[in-house]
Amino acid sequence: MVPPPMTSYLKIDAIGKSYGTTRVLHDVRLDVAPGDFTVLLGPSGCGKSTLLRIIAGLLDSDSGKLVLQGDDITALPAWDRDIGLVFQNYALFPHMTVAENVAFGLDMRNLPKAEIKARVAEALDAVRLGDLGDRKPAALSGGQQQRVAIARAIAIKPRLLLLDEPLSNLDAVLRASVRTELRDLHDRTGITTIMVTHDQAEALSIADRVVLMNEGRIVQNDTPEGIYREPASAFAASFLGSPPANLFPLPTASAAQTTGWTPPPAVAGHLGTDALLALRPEALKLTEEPTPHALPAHLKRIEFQGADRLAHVEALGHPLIVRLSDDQTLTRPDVWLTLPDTPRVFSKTTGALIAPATKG
Amino acid sequence: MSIWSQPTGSLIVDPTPTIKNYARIAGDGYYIRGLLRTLWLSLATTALAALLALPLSWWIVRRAGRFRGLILTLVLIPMVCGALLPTLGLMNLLGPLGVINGTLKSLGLIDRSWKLLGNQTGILIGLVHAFLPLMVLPLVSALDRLPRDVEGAAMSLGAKRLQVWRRIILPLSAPGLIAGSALVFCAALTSFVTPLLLGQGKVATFATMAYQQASLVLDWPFASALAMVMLAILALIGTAAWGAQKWAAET
Repeated sequence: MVPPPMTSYLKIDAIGKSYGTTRVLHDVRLDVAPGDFTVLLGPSGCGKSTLLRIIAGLLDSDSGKLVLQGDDITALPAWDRDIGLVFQNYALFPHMTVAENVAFGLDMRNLPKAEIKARVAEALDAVRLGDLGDRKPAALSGGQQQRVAIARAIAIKPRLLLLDEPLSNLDAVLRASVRTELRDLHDRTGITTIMVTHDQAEALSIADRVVLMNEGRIVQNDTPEGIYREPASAFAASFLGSPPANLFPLPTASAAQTTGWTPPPAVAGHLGTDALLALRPEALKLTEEPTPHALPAHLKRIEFQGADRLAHVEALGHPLIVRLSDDQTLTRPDVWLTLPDTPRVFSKTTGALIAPATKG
Repeated sequence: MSIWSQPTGSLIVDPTPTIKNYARIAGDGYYIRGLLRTLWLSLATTALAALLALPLSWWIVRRAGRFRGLILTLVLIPMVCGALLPTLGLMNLLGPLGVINGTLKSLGLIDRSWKLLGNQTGILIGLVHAFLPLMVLPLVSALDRLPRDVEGAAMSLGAKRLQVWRRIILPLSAPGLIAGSALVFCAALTSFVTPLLLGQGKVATFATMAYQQASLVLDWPFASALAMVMLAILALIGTAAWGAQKWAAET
């Protein structure tokens, strides 16, 4: 795991929040470095949007502290925070033109007319909508509306830009291009950005740091590569990747013996314990001839995905997905599954990492 | 019929066209004052209803959640009960020995009863109570079309609560506000039972005057003229509301 950043631009200090008796955030702690693009990732209901709204000041936390650039902003109302916010449904003001929408935050700051005009033009140019200022939002496409919402948020030169599922309402093609644009915009402006999403591919492709949340807690805070290659829990392994890592419960030593499997040395010690292997589809290999430590498996079907082919196999009664190399052909249903030498081992009951014990 | 006439003391109608009835309305201070009083009461009712209905409707749309249906029903009940029952209830509430005065006196907050019946205050309370739903319903449907999160977006851009209302919620609820105002104004203008009972015969409005002329004095032509004036005002309000809607849609 990469050590957490030293300088903290935004410090989220033990933020807790409950709705009635349901606790949606359990004393969440997070440090965001200046200029970082951080993505809060997790399944729906994990508390990521609640956390974002608390940072924006639209929701009050029950406990904990928010420190932005050294200022305690916990009790500051939303309108005094200077935090730009972009919503999934855009939340544009339908009775104002695009330019009036973008000017709204500057109006609220009572800036001189000329400066407002210049900054509106600048913000609209930044999202490449310079010529649409006179339109009403209803006359724009979904992607354009989203860009107006982004322009409106960056026009105030916010201390922090928050994006709440900004791409979820766009179609797949548009989503990929807006994603690239968002990252470009971030790199040009250097605004520290926090984005919420439930889409792991989006998180991995756009973020400097991915903060994975589950059930109101941060389960891992890492670089995209770190969280993908070195998941800290079975949940992280099974949430990231498409398809995600296979979670393979280890059999007892005698069951392994009956099927004729001699596991790799790093795995053998965990046989018969409360252990799961997390196996990435691309880290597995299928062969028609046995190799040392290979696991006998049954090939059920090959799924064609264009660039990829995914083999669905069954080993020791458990389904697994294997990504095949381009040139590989398999003709027989009885195959051998080669595991990585040192796969990551997690506890079946708690999901905690058992091995490797340290980094590596 | 309003251009016919009826000689004093006779029940026979003379069908020769005349503007005598209208001249009488325009020339007699009693009727002009009645007209102005009615317009004022209607205007005040509309303003009060709008003031109450705006936060109520916003709350119903944004905050009521699963209680929305229940609250809307509660708001609607005075309307479906007709005019008489709620007004009789209000008389009990507002009278010198009624619930409000009784409570305030037993708490020692006032020495003498507030006069809430037989004057404009009582009528105003009755009218607002009766016609609030006419304001709430169009407002709720207008606010329902408000995009989710616009308030949050405005606040994150630096708008305080009052500015959010002035710059975002009010402009976007204008169609509902205009429709509701026209409805409440017209309903208050033509309301008859409420001013009759809560005014206790001491406050004459246009509707009670027309009633007197038609049912007690039996001067039908004159009563018709009074009704025609009311109709003209209604038509005017309708046209104004229609124009205002168009104007609101354009800006």
